Amino acid sequence: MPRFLIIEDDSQNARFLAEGMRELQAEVCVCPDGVQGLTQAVTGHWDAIVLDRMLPDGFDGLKILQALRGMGNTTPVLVLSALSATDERVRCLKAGCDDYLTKPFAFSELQARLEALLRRVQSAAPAPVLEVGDLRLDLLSRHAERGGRTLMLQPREFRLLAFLARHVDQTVTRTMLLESVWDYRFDPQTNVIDVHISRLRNKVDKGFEQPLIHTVRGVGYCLSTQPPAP
Amino acid sequence: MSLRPWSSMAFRLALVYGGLLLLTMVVVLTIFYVQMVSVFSQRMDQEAKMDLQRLEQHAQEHGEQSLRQEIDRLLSDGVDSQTEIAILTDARNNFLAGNARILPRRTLSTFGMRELRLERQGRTMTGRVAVAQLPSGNLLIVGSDMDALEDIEERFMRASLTAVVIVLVLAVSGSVAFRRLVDDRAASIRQTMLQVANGDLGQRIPLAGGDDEFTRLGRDINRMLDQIELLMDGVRHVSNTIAHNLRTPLTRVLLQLRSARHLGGQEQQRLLEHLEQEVQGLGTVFDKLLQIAELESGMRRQEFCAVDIPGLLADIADLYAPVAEENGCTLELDIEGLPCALGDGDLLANALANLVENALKYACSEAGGHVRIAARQQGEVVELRLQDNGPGVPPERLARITDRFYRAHEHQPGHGLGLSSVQAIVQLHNGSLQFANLAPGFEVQLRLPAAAQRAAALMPPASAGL
Repeated sequence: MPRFLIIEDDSQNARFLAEGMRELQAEVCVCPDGVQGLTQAVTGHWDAIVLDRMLPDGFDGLKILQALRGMGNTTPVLVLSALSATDERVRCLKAGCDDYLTKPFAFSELQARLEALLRRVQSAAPAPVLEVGDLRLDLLSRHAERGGRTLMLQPREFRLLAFLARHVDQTVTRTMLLESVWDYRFDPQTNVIDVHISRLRNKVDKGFEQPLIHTVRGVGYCLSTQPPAP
Repeated sequence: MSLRPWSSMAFRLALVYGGLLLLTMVVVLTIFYVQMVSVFSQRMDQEAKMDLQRLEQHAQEHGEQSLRQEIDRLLSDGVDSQTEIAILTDARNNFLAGNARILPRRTLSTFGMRELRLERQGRTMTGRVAVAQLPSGNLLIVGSDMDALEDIEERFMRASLTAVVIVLVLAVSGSVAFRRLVDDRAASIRQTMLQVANGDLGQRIPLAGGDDEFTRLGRDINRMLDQIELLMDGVRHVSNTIAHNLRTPLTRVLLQLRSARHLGGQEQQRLLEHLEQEVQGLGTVFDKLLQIAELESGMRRQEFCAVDIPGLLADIADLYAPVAEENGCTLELDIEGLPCALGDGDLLANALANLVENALKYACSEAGGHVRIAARQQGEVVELRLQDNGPGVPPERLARITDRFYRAHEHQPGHGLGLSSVQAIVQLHNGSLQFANLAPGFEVQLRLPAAAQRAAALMPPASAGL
């Protein structure tokens, strides 16, 4: 059971976040201010910390993050912020946070990013071969096959599938895909990612009984041998 | 006008200038005075020595009796009789001949050129004289009284003093006048500024003709006020449109939430999902507005580096090719050379993605749509052209398509912020953005400053995400 620490001063927000995470079978602790938060972060053992960027009393998220990293603590930290400016994001990433989410955000986006953070920690050394059901991806030779049949994938399609396979059984959002596969940070107006996924789906799932690429409504996509729970 | 004149800079400057003038004058007069007096007294000394020599010689040749006559003759010849002095005394300073007596009566011990207190015709004065002792022990004293010199000195001093006083008076009154003049000119500027500070942005500084410092200052301030007024108008316009574009959907959400209470099961679920989307859309509008504001503040320029335009375009084409294909549309790249722009890769990608999305949206509304992106470097400028064969934009709407929330094609979905943010991104890059209708189609021309040198190494490789 993953353990999360939430450091957030808005009690309603914190409560909803905690409730959402508990629904996902996680153990959650909420701290309403920076001093308490830092104490908890240092003394407890956490799988990830959700940190609000702006906290009262001048002891804000950035300072907590710096203090934490200064002590050599490497717990993954996801910063929530109402500040969307890019240099703000860069400042937080430089201070040692692992991901950054701008308010307002959908809970599903936070969930997907937290899962990705946990996964990153677990698989520090990437395996050269990824397998999901009968799908097999060789990252070194860039070869993809399913049920023994080679899939003819464009380089970008291979990268997209590899990203999904790395986060197997886990929902990834469209923004995460654009950031990780294309390495750009912006919000496309159209459903450009959906089109890429549907083409990939044509190559990966067509002709097979069991679909691997699933759409998670309103959130994103998931590569899994099981259809995701609604 | 304040009561302390010293607080005025004009006053201080004029006064200091007057003081400098006075100092110069005093120095010049002093040099003049010293020169004049020294020449004058040298000449007096020379004459006295010459007379003395002549009389001494006379005494040698003709005896002292004749000397007394010669002295009388010298004094009565009518030349310099007002000033010249000739005295013969014995060693004890008893008067023997001449026109003056030494005061007080004493024995002279120093000879040669010297000054001496004398009494002549009942008047005491100082004489500049040459003194010599004759072989008989008598003293021969020849020279002139210093009245003339003293007189000149006195006149000179009086004239100098008068001049100094006049200069002083002129300097002070000039300073006051200058001060008043500058104060008057500054007062009109200050009054306007005060009115502006109190909120009356329409006020302008009245400009007198000419091109002096104050007129130029006034003109610059007026130009600044024009700009501020324009920006304020812009801000007012923007806050009005923001209020409208956020309040209306918020109201819609509130009303729908209210009606959701009375709905049952599945219908309620559907409405809630719809509402979630609507709120997310509001968040998007908000993000875009903030992004535009951030771009317009110019903060991101510090992170600029060389951006590989062919690579960027390839990425964009790669991202949008499937969308184009899906809509039966072709996307064509035409790149000349290896242009490199100075900028922020993410932002440029964002702007290009916006433009490509627009082009695809309109070009694909009809069959056989075609979008072409051309890039080339021309000197210091990277030129990008996006052409589509869509319906274009009605000419009367061209000027407004970069306005926030303005939508040239109202039936198409969107917030009307895409081109505003493209415009903001291009402005941040010191570039230019132009639109033109082709027949048929639409063209966007984007010009960006080129990076000084190609620095592909600065661009993160596109595969960094894997």
